[in-house]
Amino acid sequence: MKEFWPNTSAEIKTAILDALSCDRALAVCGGGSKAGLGGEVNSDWVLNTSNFTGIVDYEPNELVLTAKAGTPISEIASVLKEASQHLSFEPPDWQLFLGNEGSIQTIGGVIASNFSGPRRIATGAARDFFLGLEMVTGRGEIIKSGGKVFKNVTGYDLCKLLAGSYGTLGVLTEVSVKCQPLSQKVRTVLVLNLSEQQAVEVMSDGLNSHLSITGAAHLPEKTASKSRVNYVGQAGTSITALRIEGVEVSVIERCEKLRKRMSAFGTVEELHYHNSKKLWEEIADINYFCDNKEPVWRVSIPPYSGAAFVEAVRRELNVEVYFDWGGGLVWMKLLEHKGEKWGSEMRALARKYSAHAALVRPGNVNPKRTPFFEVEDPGIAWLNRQIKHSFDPKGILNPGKIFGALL
Amino acid sequence: MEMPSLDPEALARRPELIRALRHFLPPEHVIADQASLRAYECDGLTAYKQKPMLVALPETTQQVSQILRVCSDLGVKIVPRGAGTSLSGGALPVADGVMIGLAKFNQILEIDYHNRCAVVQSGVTNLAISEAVRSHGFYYAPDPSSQIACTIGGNVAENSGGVHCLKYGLTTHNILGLECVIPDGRVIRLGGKALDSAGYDLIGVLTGSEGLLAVITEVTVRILPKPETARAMLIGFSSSEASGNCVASIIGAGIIPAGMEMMDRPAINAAEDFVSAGYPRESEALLIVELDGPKIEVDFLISRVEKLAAEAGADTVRISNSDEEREMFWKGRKSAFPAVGRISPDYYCMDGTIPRKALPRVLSAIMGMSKKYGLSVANVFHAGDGNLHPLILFDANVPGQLERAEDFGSEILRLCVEVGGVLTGEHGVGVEKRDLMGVMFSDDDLKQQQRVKCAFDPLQLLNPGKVFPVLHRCAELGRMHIHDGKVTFPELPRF
Repeated sequence: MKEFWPNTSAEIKTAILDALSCDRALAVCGGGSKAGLGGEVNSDWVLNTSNFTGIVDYEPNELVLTAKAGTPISEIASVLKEASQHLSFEPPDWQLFLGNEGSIQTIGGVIASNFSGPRRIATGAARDFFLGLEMVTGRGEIIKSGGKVFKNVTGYDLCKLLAGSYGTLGVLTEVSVKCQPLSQKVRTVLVLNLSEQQAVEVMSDGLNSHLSITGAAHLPEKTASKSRVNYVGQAGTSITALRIEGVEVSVIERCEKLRKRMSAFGTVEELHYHNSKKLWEEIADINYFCDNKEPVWRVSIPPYSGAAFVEAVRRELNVEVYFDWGGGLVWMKLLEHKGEKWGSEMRALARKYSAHAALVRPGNVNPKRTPFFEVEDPGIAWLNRQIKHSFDPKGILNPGKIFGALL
Repeated sequence: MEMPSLDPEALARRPELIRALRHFLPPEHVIADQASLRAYECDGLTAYKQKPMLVALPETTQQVSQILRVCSDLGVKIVPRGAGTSLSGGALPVADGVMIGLAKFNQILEIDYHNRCAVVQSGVTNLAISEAVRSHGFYYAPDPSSQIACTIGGNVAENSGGVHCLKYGLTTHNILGLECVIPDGRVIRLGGKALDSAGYDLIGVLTGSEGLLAVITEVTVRILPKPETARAMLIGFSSSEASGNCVASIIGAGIIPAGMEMMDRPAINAAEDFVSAGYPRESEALLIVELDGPKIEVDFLISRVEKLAAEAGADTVRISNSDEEREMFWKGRKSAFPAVGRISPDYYCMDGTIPRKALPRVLSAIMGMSKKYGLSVANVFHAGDGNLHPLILFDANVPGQLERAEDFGSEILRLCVEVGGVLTGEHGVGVEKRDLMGVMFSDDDLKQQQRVKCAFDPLQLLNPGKVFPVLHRCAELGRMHIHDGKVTFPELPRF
């Protein structure tokens, strides 16, 4: 067991060169909020980036913030809030979901996992807000890419490769992200008692309108009953939620129009600021599936196929679900264990619906048999290996974390 | 501009190559005669010209794959080309290479309103996508000035922007899926209609890769419901500083306009002479601010911007009251380049991005450089996102002026980097800014980028001579050097 707690990029470089010299691998981690996500890293050398903290540069009028990779997201959120700004991709907080209470979610971890909340359908993913980086590669080279401005096409966009790379290409030391103004007003229109298929159609109707919906989710009755937002938790039926944000006059008018439009589909209610905020946090943070440790799949799918896919799964398996991203993101908790072969069957079914299924919480499923995610196409798998090799030819960074047997 | 040295073997194989290509392409789709090749000798950066050895015009992905396979087998270079509107020489041919023209990839394959996306071939023009979905009230957001002509495949290659990218993002934010062919001829399909896919974000790195990694054959783009209303404002200032302050206070007030453009006096006057958009000729700086969304929101924000403009000391404010008037406001800006083209035999367009706060410093430095080089300059500026387009006026027929214009441009770009900005915001590095890459990146930075190039294209046959100032062999880049000479790794076989 060897632990590195570097304070500078040069120290990270030294740790990586040590690992290369000794032919050892490094488990790269930050505040531990996503521990358990992905495969187990087979190494007893650990590199922790928690000492890389602090906001390096932030000028609200530039809409850009630069921070050391280990800076807690809570610190960034509060600094942004003072200037009435935020990270509009809504980085979700999965500490409770993954059983990592008391850990610290860092900006580096948010970027390296590239998970985004409900607003992704309107404003984009973490990767879309990631402007620039400094990092140390698996070769021990200190490099930078991108910049601190929004519009930049100088050289390859390595930021995109690093977003969602889970520390397998390099150790991020500093990141620049785009910030956005906070909305003055937030409201959520609820439509009650829709079936999953109806909900998908209704969400599509809302998203295709001029009403600038910034969140579209559907909680079937069982999931809705777990909400701590009173109105949702006690509705006794399914809830379809559509969020509207912006300046006050506009939010009020659009809410009115949306309610009118939605009243054709079912009973309509409205949540105001605090309840609205709480509901979307629950949705982002997977709060509904925190009560135990059953396996949870995250399925990214063409939105209009979301309900049909779930129906196909239900023919084989007892699952509890909810939908975000207008149907394009399905959270699925397995309520029964049908043997290890179900992992590959789930993936095959997802493929049939042009979807991608990630096992975000393995529970009692053996993660060795059913890895976090898989790249099935041989050409894409080859390119992934080539990319990995270009940054980390010896495979010393987080081996086993992603791709299962691919890398 | 030094290009990779000519490969005599490739040139000697020209007849063999023509035969091989005509094996699966109709004869008229393999262009070999010198007169016809001339049509391909340059792109939008006309200072550089070079006829390709051959041009191939495939109609199917299968044919693209076959062309790439033949070229890799024979070790022949390949340069892809969409509509040839690149402003950085991204589609400049090489004399010993095959140019692949994608003009025949012009089909819109599917429009899926339920999932808010369209699947199109890569040679479809940017504007054609918006036109195809307009009847349903949708549009494709990125709108580079060349949108009538430029292709979506070229937009992906360059990560094109446009005047609305402050609010709606660049190409990279609006792409869901790609089909491409990598240099060894394999067809790769990435992403689709879902938002996330597995593995490293290959779509992300391909977008903006300037045709060096793969040939794009099909693109799945996001389409958006068209905003209910849009209104534009013309705001004139007596100094560019006041205009810059106004931009900062709009953003500071939490307002993200759909577009926010700035023009300086020479640009205002050139545009006004050209299209009579009603621009205030006496202003030193003009802001065009467009707000879009629900009518009530747009009206509310217009009044707030009006107030902020007055506080910043605006001389004139005009607000559009109809779509025709709004389009007229934009017409001057959108035709700024040809307008400047009328007042000068030649112009050289720069494309650095700077933090907005650096604008006064950079503009005054550009004025200084204008005196130093003895060349006039007109500035248009995507004020919302800091992307600056100084247009340097010169006459290529006057000996020395082109060189002076290039030196002037390179000094501007160095300054952009010095103030915390970047060399190119949307036009790409291409051949034009290739040799300035070292101003922004270290050797190690560039070597890692080139390793990514090698990951896709180990033989380095695709679009050679672009982006990277120094060529390294992939094998050389693959080696690892460990300090103190303790450990050295032999060249790794997989690379």
